[in-house]
Amino acid sequence: MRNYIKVLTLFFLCNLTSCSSNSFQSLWHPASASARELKNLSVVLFVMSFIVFTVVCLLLFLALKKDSGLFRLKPGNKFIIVSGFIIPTIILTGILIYSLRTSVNIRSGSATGAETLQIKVIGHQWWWEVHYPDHKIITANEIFIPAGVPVNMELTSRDVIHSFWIPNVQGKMDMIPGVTTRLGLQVDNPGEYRGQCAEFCGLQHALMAFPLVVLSREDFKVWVKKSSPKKRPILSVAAIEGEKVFFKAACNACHRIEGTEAKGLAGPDLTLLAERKTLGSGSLPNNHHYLSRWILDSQKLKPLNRMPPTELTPEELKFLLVYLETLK
Amino acid sequence: MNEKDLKDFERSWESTEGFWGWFSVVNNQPLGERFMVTSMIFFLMGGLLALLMRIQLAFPDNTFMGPLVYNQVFTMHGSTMMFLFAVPFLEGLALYIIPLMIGSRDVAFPRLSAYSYWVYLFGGILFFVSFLTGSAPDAGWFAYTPLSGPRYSGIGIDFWVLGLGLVELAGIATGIELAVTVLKLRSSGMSLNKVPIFAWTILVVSLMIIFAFTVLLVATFLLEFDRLLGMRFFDPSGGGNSLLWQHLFWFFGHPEVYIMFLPATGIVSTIIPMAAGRKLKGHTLVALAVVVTAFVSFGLWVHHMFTTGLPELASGFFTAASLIIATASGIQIFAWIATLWGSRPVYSTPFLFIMGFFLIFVLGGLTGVMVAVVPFDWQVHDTYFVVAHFHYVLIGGVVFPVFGAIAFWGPKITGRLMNEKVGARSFWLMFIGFNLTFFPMHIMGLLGMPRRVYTYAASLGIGQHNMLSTAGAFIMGLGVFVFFMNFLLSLKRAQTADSNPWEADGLEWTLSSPPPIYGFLSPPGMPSLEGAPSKWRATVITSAMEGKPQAIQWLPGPGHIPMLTALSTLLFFMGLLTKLYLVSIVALIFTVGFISRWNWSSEDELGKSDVTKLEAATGLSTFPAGSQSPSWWGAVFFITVLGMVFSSLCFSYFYLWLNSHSWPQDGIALREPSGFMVATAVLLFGNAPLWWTKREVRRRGYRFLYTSMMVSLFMSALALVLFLRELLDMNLNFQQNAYSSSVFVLSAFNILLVFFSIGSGFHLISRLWAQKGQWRYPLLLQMQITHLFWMFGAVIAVLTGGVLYFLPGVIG
Repeated sequence: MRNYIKVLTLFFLCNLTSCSSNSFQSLWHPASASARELKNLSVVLFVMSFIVFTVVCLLLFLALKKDSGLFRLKPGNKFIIVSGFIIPTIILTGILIYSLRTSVNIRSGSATGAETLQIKVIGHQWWWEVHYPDHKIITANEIFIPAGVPVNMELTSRDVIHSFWIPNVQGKMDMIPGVTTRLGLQVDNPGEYRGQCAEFCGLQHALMAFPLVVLSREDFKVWVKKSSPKKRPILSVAAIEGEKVFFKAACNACHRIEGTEAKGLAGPDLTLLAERKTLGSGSLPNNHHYLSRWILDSQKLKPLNRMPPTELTPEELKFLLVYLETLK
Repeated sequence: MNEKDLKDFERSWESTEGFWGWFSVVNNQPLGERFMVTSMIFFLMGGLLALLMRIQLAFPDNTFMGPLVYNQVFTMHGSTMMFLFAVPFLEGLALYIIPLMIGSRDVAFPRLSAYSYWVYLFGGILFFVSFLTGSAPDAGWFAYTPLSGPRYSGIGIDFWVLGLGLVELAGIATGIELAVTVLKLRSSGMSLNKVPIFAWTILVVSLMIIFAFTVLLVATFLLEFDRLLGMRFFDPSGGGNSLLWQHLFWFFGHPEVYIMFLPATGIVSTIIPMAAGRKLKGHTLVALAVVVTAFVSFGLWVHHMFTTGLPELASGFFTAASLIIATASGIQIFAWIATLWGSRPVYSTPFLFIMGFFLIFVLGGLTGVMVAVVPFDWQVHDTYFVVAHFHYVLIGGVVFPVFGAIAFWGPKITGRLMNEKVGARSFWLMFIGFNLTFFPMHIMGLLGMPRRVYTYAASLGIGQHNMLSTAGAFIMGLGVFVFFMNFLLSLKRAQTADSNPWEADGLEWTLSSPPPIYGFLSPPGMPSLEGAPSKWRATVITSAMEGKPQAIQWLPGPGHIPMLTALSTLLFFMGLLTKLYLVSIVALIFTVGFISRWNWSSEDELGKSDVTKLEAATGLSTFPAGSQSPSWWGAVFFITVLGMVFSSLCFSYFYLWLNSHSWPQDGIALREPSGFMVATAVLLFGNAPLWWTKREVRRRGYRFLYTSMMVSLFMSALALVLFLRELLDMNLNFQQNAYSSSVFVLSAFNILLVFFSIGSGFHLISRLWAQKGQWRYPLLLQMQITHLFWMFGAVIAVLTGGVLYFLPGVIG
């Protein structure tokens, strides 16, 4: 039995220390004041649990031990009440106070000011619709924010319940149809993190993620300028052909492109598609290879998503890709 | 008792032989066994589903299963383990062992246990049949709306809702059964503070079931109304609210955890004293802790909803409640340590499982405290951290004690000892496999792996952890396999068990292994029932608190009525599922018919000479009435269930109201109360003659009953017509908005109760008529119970009127 225990302990230690994994979707790598508060709270809770667990195991070990001077100890009701009720109550009260303090800190840390950036995110099966109401920018499946600026997220859903979660930055908040919930974010430094839907929302709940890109204030200004509604550029001949393909294949039934007749709302907005880092809501890199495969048959890449396959000749696909390239 | 009498006595407890006889069994022991075996089969099926999931998740981007199948598999895994395994197994164990523990011959309502077994079996089959249609339920075991609503899910959810409805029905029926058994069928002198701790936990849990399961039953029905009839309870676009489901579901769901866990602590508190060879230390404290846990568990449901944007203060309250419950568990844990202190226990298989429970559960409890801390929960909610947490609690806290219980009471039930060496090996395989499977999940959660995903990206760096977890799952599966092989082989060749192989304490160990079907020939400390005629099953009932013998209770013998009633209940649900409503209506008529036949038993009546003889020999009445009678208690609990249905409907009504801009919604005018008031007044007047007769019947005899019942029935029928007219006059379109849906359902519930009252009154009067006006004593009990229902119906009518007609005017 001793050996078993040794093996097990060794295993757990290895497991605990093998945090060789990601630093972009992990609450163990905080990138904001809130996330740091949350990590500190977690550390305190883990340490508390570890101590309590060790003490209980030790007591059990002593209770089962065959020969010990402690035998004369005859634990009765007093022992049960002190160690089972009084001590836990003290520990738990401490935790309760610390936890309330943490929530207050997080709430006050995300207080809104004049500078606050408003972003509205609407959950869909299985993608994210993103609005910057102050800048009239509509995009999807990725969020750009400036570093060091408080951001107020307004969250809701168009269909079922989703949950908005970027572990490095903030705890999660549900997106509920018919209800608007709020979440404050403020990230210290530029960088890229990953958010993922955390409430089971149907078939493709697993592949519903998005990158959160944190830019410096200056870069963010540039981004806003670049992304704000503007006149469509003059298209090349190939791109004009591609636009025709876009409408012929009825892509506009579901997708919207600012400044064109494409006004569909069922799928992600494509106005800034060429700038986007990912396809299929954070599930694939956005490059020519995946984009063409996605258009022809996205079902192979993200099974049972809502986009039907499109039948295009190689020629048409080529033109369409040229056109989509202009969406930035 | 001479030899011939003994033979006759034994024969009177035997079941009918042959194929059809198998369907007519009502004895607690075979039914308990069936519950346990069936739920274990479901456990194995749920376990296989878990292994499939672990195969899919072994590697990142694995394609073993697609999202469709995976979602079905994880939904069925969760639902099976929660609904088809844990509670039914514990109820089965209780059905078998509780009468033996408390010195009774059977449970209080033998036919009800048969009914609940069949209903449970049918519900479970309905669950799994959905796989054959290719659309198994796929919205998770929690089935959050609107995902589980009509717009976003298919027929799988109907299977889920209706199968669950049946299983819940069985759960509630068995809950009532066990509560009354522990309260009324204890042996003489076993006052309530002296019941064995396992029986105590079962009593507490049965009461919890009555409250919690009923809420889920209502929730699933409302969901099915949304799905089948187009009501709008959970539809935000129709004034409904998708969070209403979460409130109702978790009001059930959180106590559910303790409904599974508390009997398991009862098992632990039984096995530890056996291993320590002494009595449980702090017995009173432990019993108290169980009650505190039960109470507080109903105030915890919101701690599953910390991420829905609730107000801070509410969350803080629920954190505090969650922490209180932790101290209640602390009491139990240290009571067990105190019991074991310096006792040099023998490491038998049951004790090993309990020690496994101990370590795993403490860890699970600690992570439970962690997730109850609101800000921490914002991060780990719906991640693998939570998956790890509740598997530590449920496998550690329920499955390990259940396996310990099988090893412990198995020899009592089968009469064969299991192999200790193999038992220890199966334990170690399960224990190590379990920790390998679930410990890494804590870390996966911290590294950002959400729950309920069929795949994950390699870049998350959690591939190794998942691989380990999958390997562990197979080791644990092997452990389960070894355990069951050990059990099955022991049936064939192991050595036979004597009456007390563990040298444990308790009445059940004074009987042979396996015990005779009737339990105790003469229950300890009880008046001898030797005067009873041989074909007459009976047990002694005692007072609920002190355990003083009160009367002799007749118990029904084998019959097909429970199975037939269950079958027609199934048909009713199947009709809804396939939208063949005619089938449902016919099945409902049959169900009502079977139930009235059920209550129409004349076998309970002895000849006059037998009565005199028996009453003289025992000094006890053979006609318990009023609060002496188990049936009266059963009726009170049943009324509690109905009251809980009404409360849940009112909760939904008020919750929807609170979250609406206007009430009634969409500018519907609030209806004048006059029509409803007249109907209620007629109903109340109809109650009066029955009330008066009930008071006078002992003094003036039965003659009044005819006339007064006729008047009562006539008035109630009139009230029924008036209520129905009122509902029709309202001109409600229940598909319009949540207001209309909830008003419709509340009114319909009221009408249903009036209908039900009339039915019970009619049943009473026709029994009297069938006896050619001959008043017989058992009718007194039926009359008391009928009267209870009538009073309840009247109260509900008044409340319904207030809620629907007055409050919106007063507050709105």
